[in-house]
Amino acid sequence: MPNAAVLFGLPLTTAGPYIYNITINGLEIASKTDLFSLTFQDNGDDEPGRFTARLWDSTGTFAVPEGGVVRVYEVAANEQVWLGYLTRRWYDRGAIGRWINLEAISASALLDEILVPFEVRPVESDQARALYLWGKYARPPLNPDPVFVTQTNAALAADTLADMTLRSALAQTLGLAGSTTRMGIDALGRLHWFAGTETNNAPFNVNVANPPGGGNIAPNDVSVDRDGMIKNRAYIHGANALGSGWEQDDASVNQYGPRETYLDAPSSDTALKRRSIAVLYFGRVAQPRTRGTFSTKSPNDGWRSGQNVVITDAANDLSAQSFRIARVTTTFYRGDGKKRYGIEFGGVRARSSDTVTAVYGSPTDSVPVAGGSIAGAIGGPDLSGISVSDALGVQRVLLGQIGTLPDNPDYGLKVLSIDGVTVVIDGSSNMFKIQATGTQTRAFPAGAGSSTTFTTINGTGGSPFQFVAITGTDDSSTANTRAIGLAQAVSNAGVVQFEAIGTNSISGGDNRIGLTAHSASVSPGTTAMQRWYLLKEAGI
Amino acid sequence: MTPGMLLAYTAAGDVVATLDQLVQYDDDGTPLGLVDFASHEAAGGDHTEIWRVSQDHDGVDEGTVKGSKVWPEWLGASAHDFRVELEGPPGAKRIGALVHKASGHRRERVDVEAAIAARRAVTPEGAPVDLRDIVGGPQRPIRIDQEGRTAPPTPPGQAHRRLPLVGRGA
Repeated sequence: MPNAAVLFGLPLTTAGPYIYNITINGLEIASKTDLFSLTFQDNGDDEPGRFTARLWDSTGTFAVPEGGVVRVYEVAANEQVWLGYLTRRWYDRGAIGRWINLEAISASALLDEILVPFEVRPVESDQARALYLWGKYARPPLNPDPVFVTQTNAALAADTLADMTLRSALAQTLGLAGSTTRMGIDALGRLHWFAGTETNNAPFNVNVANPPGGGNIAPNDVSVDRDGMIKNRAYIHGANALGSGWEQDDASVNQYGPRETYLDAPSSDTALKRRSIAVLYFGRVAQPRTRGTFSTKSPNDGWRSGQNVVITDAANDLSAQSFRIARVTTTFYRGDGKKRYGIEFGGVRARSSDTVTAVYGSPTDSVPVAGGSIAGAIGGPDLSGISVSDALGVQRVLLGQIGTLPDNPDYGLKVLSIDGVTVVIDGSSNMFKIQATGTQTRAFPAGAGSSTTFTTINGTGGSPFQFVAITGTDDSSTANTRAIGLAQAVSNAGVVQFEAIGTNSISGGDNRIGLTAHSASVSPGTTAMQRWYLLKEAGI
Repeated sequence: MTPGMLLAYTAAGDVVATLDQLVQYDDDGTPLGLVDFASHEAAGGDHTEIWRVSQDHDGVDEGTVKGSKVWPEWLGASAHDFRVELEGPPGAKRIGALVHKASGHRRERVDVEAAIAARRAVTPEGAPVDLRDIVGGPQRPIRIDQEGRTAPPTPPGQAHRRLPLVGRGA
């Protein structure tokens, strides 16, 4: 049976204020909490922080609310330092009473649990879009306070957000805003949206060469890791042609050479989404990542994630280099509330890169029109093409570069019908144009014989035009005559009784279409008829 | 006036050939546009500058057919069900009516021109005049019934209209 003194130290068991207030759904549990079991991570990156603790329930009746909101409040700093909600609990029973083990996750995890079903946003500032999303979808314990949401881009491109989490929607918006835009969730559940770095210095600098003091600490466990796995060019495999294509981070390619990869992005169905996915990806992997850890303890207090710490450590090639603190793990080593801090700095977090036009060219901007959209622009910087999508975002027409380099460099026109059939007019295959069309009739002769109607089209030249089907061959006695159609009536004995023959020949330097009605013995008493097309072969 | 289609006819007036459209190209094959048959005819142009229609029998040339004139409607192959009736003074004749060979129904040019004029009158100034339901178009002829009359549009609910279409559900 543990002694109460090992729980939260003397100050918490007296009438004085607690060192920390720990509440679940507003119910104070500090007096029940084993101080040395208490750990919480204050996270400044995309990975939600964790909270663990165990409570002594002396009667075995203490009810822990499922999913209850957990708040940790540091009295001395007059500051809430952790916010989240319960995810697990289990019990260790004693002879009397029981330990209640708790695990909680920070409030930012809700960003992965809230779905943005469908939003069409106009051109607006990133601040307006972020606050729109935050105001509509963020729910407690996330905090609607907009004070830390600043404008970093006055005119964000119009965008459609569909079937994604709130984190993805915010990240996509961040990707459109620019490479210096950052976001984060603080310990009060508030959204931070800013450019570059927030003014938020750490309480101490780290310089292992200097003695501690004077605003400096010298931890002996500074560890730095440099991750040089770089990717700076990616093929985005989207839902359609417009949402697919090559993108690259120009600066990284220039510095390190192309490091290519492949991204499967089924949600990418527009050039805008393709671009957003690419810049967010490159923002994380197009440059080497430096991350590290150190630890310290009270009285060097006041560490929070999101602070900027300046580190000098010759052994790790760091000279007054500033890093953003990504995570602070707080534990306790004395019953009076003295703390130990595990501090992680650097690494990567949601951000964009300066990705420019796709490697092999792709349309960029998207302008909603009448339920559908047109992407690309004639004469724009992106010369690969223009696409037209329907109201559901399905690309129906692509005019321009219809293939993907290096295998298919063709420009052309691609049309997708409602039933999924794709018609392609490319720049390599020839096609036919209908230069002229008409009809002919000719009555079958009364007796055995042949009668013909000829139509000669002036100005069509001295060589036969092309036909979709040519069923005959040249006849030396009637040069350039080709049968283009044949209809026969044949008896059961296999004897031709009458037939209609369509021909094309040259007469006087022009194409001459003929329809011959031939009666083998007697007339059927009908009239032969045909529609003809003069087809002009032309490359597109 | 519409560009119309060309009808070639025998001495008896039977239509034996049509020319629905003709595209004019420049020397390098760039299409310039559809030839306006009606304007050519109105300007006194000779149709042999456009086409020639002749016949033979058992290899014996029977010469060119009687004549060729413009008709303001596109009738497609249905034009062969008619014979032409000319009107106007010598040297300026035109097709005044098409007479259906089976039923005797007459398609009068004045009726077609009146319908075109009425449509023009109700079309706002500067707006394109939509005549497709009146005269059809190249490769888009108007529908003609078995008596030579303009067939009404296919009413909704006909059997083939109720058949399911690929990609659009039942």
